[in-house]
Amino acid sequence: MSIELITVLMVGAIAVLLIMGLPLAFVTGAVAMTVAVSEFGLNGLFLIESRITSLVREFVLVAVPMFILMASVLERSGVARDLFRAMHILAGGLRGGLAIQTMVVAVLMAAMTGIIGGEIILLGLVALPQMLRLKYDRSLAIGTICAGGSLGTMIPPSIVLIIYGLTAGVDIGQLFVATIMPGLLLATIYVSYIVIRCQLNPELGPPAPLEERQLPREEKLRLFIGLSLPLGVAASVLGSIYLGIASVSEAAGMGALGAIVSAGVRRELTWTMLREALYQTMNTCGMLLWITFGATALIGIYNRMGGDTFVEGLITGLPLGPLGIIMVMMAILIILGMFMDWIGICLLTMPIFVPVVITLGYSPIWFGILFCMNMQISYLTPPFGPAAFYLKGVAPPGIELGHIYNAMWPFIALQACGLALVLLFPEIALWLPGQLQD
Amino acid sequence: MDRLFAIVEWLAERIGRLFSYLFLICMAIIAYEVVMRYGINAPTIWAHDVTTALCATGFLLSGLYTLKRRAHIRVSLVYEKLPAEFRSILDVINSLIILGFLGLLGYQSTKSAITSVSIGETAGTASQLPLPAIVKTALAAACILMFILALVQLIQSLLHEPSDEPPAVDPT
Repeated sequence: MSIELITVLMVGAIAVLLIMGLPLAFVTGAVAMTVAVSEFGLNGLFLIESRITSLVREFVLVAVPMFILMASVLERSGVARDLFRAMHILAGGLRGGLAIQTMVVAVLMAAMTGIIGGEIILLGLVALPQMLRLKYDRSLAIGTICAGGSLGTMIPPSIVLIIYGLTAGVDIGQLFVATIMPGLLLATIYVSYIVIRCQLNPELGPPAPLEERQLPREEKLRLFIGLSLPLGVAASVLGSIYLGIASVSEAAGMGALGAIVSAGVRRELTWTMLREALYQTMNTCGMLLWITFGATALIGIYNRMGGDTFVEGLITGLPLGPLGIIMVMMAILIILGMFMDWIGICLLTMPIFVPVVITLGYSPIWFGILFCMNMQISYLTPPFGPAAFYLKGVAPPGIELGHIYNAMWPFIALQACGLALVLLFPEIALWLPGQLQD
Repeated sequence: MDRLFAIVEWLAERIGRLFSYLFLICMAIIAYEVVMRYGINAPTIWAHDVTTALCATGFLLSGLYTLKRRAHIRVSLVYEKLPAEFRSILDVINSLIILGFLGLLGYQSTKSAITSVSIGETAGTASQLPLPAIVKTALAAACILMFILALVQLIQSLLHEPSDEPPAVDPT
């Protein structure tokens, strides 16, 4: 079979199986296996098996369960609630103050977690009822939570960047440094949007009454002490990666330990809580890793049959300049992001895209940040934006999936602006790693 | 028969929970290694390989736990809108695809695991830990266990009347 025909058949089979409701992990796995066996006979099975067994032996993957465990423990402690209360004292009196403080809490929580689900659920539980109680505009509140909670994978640590680094062969520490400025840029854009809209129309986000923003001194002290430890853990995890003291996996392991110790000091650690955090880690690993297995097998087989040179030829053959080709890749990622999980997209496209990006003379670190920002958009876009599903699970009755998706559009536009800025000014991502290298 | 199925489901849950402690052990080893290396400048030669082996085993077995919880990510928007009879036909087709994939992968990995274990295959690292043998065995075990669980889930869905509700998904 020619590679053109195989490509068409593979894409078609993936689309059909996905629509049939077959889990993504088995869609990619089954397609890989069918192609492998029909091309190479039973020896093809060996190719699939060896792709999987060599992938799981990557030391950097150790960071994935460690960061998930760290997040699972912190999610079960009252850190998010306390952060929200502390920010309330500072920002509650502003117009749109609750939405602004939600965004600040989202960024701080994002520095402790590398995944999005838990953060959106937490903000949905902690911040959404408060904003609705103060008669905030419902769409503004929902959009703030979904966009802010998605920053979990944009602000380091980030599971998305770990998988990208592994796939693209890029240093993960460098990626973590590079994503700070673009992540903060997105947060700044969101906060500016909230401030501007609430200044233009104060009805959207009324300030909180004074009495609920005052706390006795000992209560303030207790909040401060309870928060300093987890924030200190997050800071030291990232600091040790940036300064090159520890490998990402070691820093992640210490972060998980730090989270458990913090929960202990805050008197929130119980055996049940730790056990449930471990079970959740196991479940999340099962979701992520088995998609990884299927996708790595699929791309391995496809490239063995010359798929990478074929697609490379297609892309570089386009009558476009280098930047135009990058834009085409972004468009492909945005479209895939509407239908597929980020991890499947990363493993299927990056082995083909990244060599092209490097050939064009661009930095694979910069491209990784663009990919990560692109996936921010994919969390929000219907019909499969996972952020909406996470929030729907904890939203008060009366808030339907339709309301949530309608609330997303302004934030999707803001994300597109952020993406365009980093696309046109790569220094936003590349300046900080350059500084640290000297 | 129902009793046997319940036992299989219960076992899958237990095995998944048991293996989740590997990640906790892995965390403890990382902490030990960090103290040894940065604290008293006496790094171990085994921590790197042992943490890798523990996590790899956890990753492979985690698929079983996620399958038990019916939490493998899928695009369910079209699927959920379909009538119940049509959905149960799709369930059967999907299950057969999953069984085919796991069966062939299980067959291949069992073959590799037997060879690898019998020669005590190592990765040539300083710790002499037979990492390839461990990983291949874990993959074979994961595939076989997931195959059995998927088979039980298929038979269960065939035995029970199709309902209007899509199959329950564990929210966590």
